[in-house]
Amino acid sequence: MKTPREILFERHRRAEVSLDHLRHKVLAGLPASGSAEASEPNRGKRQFIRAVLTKAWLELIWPSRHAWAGIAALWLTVGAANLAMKAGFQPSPPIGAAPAREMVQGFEERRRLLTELLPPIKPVPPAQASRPSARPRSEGLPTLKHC
Amino acid sequence: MLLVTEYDQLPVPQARAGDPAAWDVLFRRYQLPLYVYVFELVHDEQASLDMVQETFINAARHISSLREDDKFGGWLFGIAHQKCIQRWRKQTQEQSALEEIGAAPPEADAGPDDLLIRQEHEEEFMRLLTRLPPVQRSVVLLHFVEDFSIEQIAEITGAVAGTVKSRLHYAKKALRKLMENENAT
Repeated sequence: MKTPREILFERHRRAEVSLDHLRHKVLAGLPASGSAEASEPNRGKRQFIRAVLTKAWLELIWPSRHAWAGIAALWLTVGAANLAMKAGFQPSPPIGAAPAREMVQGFEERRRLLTELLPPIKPVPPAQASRPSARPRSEGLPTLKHC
Repeated sequence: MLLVTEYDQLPVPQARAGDPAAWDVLFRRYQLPLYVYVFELVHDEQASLDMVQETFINAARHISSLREDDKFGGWLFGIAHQKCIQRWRKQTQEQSALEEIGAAPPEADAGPDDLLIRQEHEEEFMRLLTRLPPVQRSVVLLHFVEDFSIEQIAEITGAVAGTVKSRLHYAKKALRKLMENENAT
């Protein structure tokens, strides 16, 4: 005498080879120990960042894509021009680095040259300063003739 | 026969933590009972293997939805049962077969061992089992294969406990009757 369970199990015992095979297949597809739980917060964080970036892209960048492209091109041009100018420019030595003695000598030479070339300047007599009238200004005004 | 204490030994908490060795133990424990259950409902070897595989994959993926560790077996069979229902719905509209049997006051349920079958009657038993309507077959298989309680079978099949009791009662009665008829002839 057998129970229904025993009969059923005996009938399907030969399927165990296939079942073992599929069990190994499923186990091979399982994530490594602990990684499932550990990756959950990271996955959530990644999804959040991706969602924010997608939203920003769709709402900020994409609607005015032509304007953004124009601005980007302009900046690229400015950057390229800046680089080209820097490459062709010979930097002068800084002012502070020039020797002070040479500068003073130069000034002295110029002054000497000017004194040789220009006639001596006569001192101009100081113009007679107009003394302020003792009378009130109102008296000095021209009188109006009555017609 | 499945012992109640076996649930305590199953490494369900380790499986929750993603331990492949724990999953191996659980799959090894349930692979044949699940296959028997699914095969006796769908009668297609390849489809049964596919469904068992899908059940395992779903279990590993959704283990967080299992609330109580000691209900792992019932939860696993519930996944397989849903797959069988999906297949039934896809194949044919077996509405008549899925209809409820009139609820009758069932007799006290005994364990799965109350039906003992002689070796010469094994073939008959299997044939009679196949002739049962799917809803009765499903209940009686869960009862025979894993000795699930009425409440557990109700959870697995999504039916109320009274309906399960009734189905089990009628299925066993039908099996006995059929076997008696077979023996009488």
